[in-house]
Amino acid sequence: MSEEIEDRLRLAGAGLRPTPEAEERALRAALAQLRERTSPVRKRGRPARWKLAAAAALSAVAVGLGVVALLPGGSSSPPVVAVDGGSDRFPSESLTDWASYADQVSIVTVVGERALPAEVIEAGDRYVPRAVTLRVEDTIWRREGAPRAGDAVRVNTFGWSLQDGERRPVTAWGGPRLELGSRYVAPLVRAPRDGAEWTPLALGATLPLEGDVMATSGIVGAPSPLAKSMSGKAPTTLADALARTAPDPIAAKHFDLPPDERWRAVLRERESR
Amino acid sequence: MTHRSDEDVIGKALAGSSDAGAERFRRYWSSSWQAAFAVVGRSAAADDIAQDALQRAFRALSSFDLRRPFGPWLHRIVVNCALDFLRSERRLVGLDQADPGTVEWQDERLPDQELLAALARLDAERRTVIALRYWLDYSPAEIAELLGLPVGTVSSRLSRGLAELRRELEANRV
Repeated sequence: MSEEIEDRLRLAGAGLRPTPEAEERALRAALAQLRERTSPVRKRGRPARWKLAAAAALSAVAVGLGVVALLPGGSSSPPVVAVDGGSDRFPSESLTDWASYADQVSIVTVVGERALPAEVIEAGDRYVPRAVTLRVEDTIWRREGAPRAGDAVRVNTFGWSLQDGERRPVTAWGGPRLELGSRYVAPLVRAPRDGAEWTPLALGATLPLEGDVMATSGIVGAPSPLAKSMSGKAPTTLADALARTAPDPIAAKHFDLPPDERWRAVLRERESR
Repeated sequence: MTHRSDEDVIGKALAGSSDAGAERFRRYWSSSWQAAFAVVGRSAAADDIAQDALQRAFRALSSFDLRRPFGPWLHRIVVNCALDFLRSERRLVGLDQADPGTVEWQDERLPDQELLAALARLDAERRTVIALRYWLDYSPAEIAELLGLPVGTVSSRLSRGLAELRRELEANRV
């Protein structure tokens, strides 16, 4: 009888269909929403070459991103493909976010990089993710009880697009591309995935260092408000501000959970209110 | 025809492609509607709820982690929209207090009216889990993840829901 009910349930489900009229109406509404969602990006100064860039950079969608712009590189380097709509795993826009989800904030130097297996997007287009090694020079803040990174950590980050044999570096709009030899202030969290134990909270939360001060010069596109507020200041300023910042109380209740689960628990609790 | 991944389609939708947006919509429209229908039991309401949920999903597309499966994320939005709808009608204070009498599956075009009538008499918790399992083909573990419930709770609702359906259908045969 149970199997019979299960079969009948499946059959009934297969027969349940919305009307074509409802589908058409909903499709129009959804596409209008999509146009509304994407139009502000175009208005905020996207270069006229956007369409060309879009065609060139669609390979970046493998990491979950839409194209914003093709930006000129240095005199001898290829242009950087900057992408938008990033799939940040953790919130990182405020110091409260950092205090809630980062395990430590460290000054790091990129000391190694290697290509990860390429992902074929369409015929002729490939996206090559990248693993970089960060040497931890100094840790300026640490959440009490949080795991500690070693002297070097591997993180997975944006790599390159390959189209028609041409390789272009890819990064996210609003963040720096982690370049070999460069130094950054990075909020790090231990959140293992795809072979990498650690990750920055978000690329946009990784602040370039120029000499002894934080800068926005290495950031592609518009820096975050936090990056702008810290520009020109020493990392100790950031450490002092973090020391005065309390974590989100809901996140703090779940400090015993891994960060991904903690973030989901916070979302669930917020939704239930 | 080449099957394109969710990542590809969504990425292109993010880049502003209407074609990609339409493709993604069509891929998930029917299942979204079924999920909404499972909770509210009314075709017209399911139309509105599925539409609203897809619009919300489009709005939130940039915050979606593409390394995760898109379907469960979307269906969770659909189920939450459907529950909000019921709550807004003051017919449901919490899922555990769902009133079976609120479901109005009277549409003659629907298949297996006897089964659907029995399903309509289940509470919304069990009905939702059964629909996700047998209509949308999610495993109990996936349903647990989607609804934020322990797997044991999902399995319990499934088995109790099926037992209740069996009793209803057997009673009709007497």
